[in-house]
Amino acid sequence: MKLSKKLIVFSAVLIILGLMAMYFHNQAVTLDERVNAAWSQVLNQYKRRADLIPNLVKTVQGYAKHEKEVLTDVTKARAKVGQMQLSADLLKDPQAFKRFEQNQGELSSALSRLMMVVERYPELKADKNFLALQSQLEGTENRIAVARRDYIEAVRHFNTLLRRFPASLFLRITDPELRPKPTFSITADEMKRPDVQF
Amino acid sequence: MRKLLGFLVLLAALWALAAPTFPALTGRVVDEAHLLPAHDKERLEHKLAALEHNTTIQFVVVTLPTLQGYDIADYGYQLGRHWGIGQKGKDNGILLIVAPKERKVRLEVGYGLEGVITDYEADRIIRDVIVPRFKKGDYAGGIMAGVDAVMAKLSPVSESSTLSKESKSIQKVGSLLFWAAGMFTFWALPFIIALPTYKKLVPSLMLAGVAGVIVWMMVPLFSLAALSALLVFAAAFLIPTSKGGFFGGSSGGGSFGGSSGGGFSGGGGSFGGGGASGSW
Repeated sequence: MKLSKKLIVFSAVLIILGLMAMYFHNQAVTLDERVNAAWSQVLNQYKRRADLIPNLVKTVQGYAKHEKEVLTDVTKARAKVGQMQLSADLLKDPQAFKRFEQNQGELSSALSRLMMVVERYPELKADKNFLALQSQLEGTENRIAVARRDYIEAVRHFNTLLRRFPASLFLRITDPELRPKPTFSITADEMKRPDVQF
Repeated sequence: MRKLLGFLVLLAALWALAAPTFPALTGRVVDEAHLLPAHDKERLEHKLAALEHNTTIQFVVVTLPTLQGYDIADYGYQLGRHWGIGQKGKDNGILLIVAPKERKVRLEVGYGLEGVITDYEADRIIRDVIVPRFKKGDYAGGIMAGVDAVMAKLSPVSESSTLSKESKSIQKVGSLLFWAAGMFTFWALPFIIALPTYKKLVPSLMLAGVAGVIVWMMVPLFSLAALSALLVFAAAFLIPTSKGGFFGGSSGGGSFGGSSGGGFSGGGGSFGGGGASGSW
C-alpha cells in the first residue's frame, strides 16, 4: 500500500489548502458585509441631516431675514447633496465617492456658518421649534461622526485582509472581483482635540 | 513626497482613532469624581437595578474626574461601547455622564432607545432638569432629578424579555452541539485510525458523516461538505494502523465564558452617538 501513503499526504495538503481558502473567503465576506453595513449607516445619517434642513432654513428665515447669503449657501449645498445617487455603488467608484464626500463637506461648513450666524438672534435661540431642530441637528452631526469612524474602521479591516499575505493570494483565486474600498480622509475637525475648558 | 504624505495621513488617522482610557464598570453608579453622597448612590443603584429588572434597560450613571481632552460626545459613545451597556441585540443602554472639571454633562442613548429618548428630549432633560441644579452646585440633586426624568420616559416600554431569552438559550444549545461534534471528530480520528482495518469501516463512515455536517454548517456548499466527508473517510480508513497514534492530542477549542457572578456587567449593547450634551 505504498500508493495510499502518497494519497494521504496529498489529501491532507488538499484539506489544509481548502480550509485556508474557505477561511479567507468567509473572512472576506464577513468584513465586506461589515463595510456595507457601516456605509449604509453613514448614508442614513447624512440623509437624516439633509431631511432636517428645509425646516431649519424656514425657521431661521422667520427671525433672520437679512442673512440671505448664508441661507442660500445652505440651500444650495443641500440641493447638491440631494442630487447625488446615494447607494452602495458609490463604494465601487472612487471618483463618485470623492465627490460625495466633498459635497457633504460643503454642506457641513455651510451649516456651521449658519449656526454661527444664529448666535446673533436671541429671539430665534429661544424659539421652541428652533431648539428642537438644533438638538436634532447636533445629534445628527454627532451620529455622522460616529458612523464615519465606524466606516473607516470597517474599511481598514477589509483592506488589510485584502493586502496581507497569504490571504491576498487565496483571495485572488476565490474572489478576484474584490477591490480595496475607498475611505474618508479625516477632516481637520475630526482631528482636532478640543482644549480643556474651564 | 507622496509616500510621506500618505504616511502622515495614516498616522493622523491612527491618532484620531485612538481610544481614551475608561474607568472600570464597578456598578450601575460609577462615581469617579465623587459627586454623590453614599446614601444617594445607594438609592440610585437600587432604582437602576429595578429598571433593568423590569425593562432589561441598562442605565448607568458615571461621573468623571477628566475627559482626557476628548469631546464628551466622542468619549460617551466609546465608553458605552467599551462597557457594552444595554442588552445585546436590543442596544437598550443609557449613560448619564457628568464631567465636573470640564463642566459638561451628556445623556448617551443606545441605538435601541433613540426612538424613546429622542435627541430633543435628552436635550430638554439636560437643559431644564439637570443644568439648573448643577449651576447651583447641587450635583447630587441634578443627577437624581435627571435620572428620574429619564426613567419617567422609559416606563411605558416595559416589555417582557422572555422571547429573547428563549432564543438565546436555543442559540447556546446549537453552538454547544456544534462544538461537541467538532471535538468528537478530532478526538475520534486517532482512535479509529488505531483500530485494525476490518473494524474500521463503520466508525470511519460515521466520522465522515459528522465531518461533512460540520463543514456544511460552516459553508452551505454541498460539494465542499461531500469532499470533506470523503477526505475524512479516506484519512480514517486508509491510514495504516501505526504503532503509536501519530495524531497525538488535538487543540482544545473555544471556551464558554459564563457571565460573571454577582456583580453588574454590561449586556453587550452598542451606541451610535444618540443623545444630547450640555454644559453649565
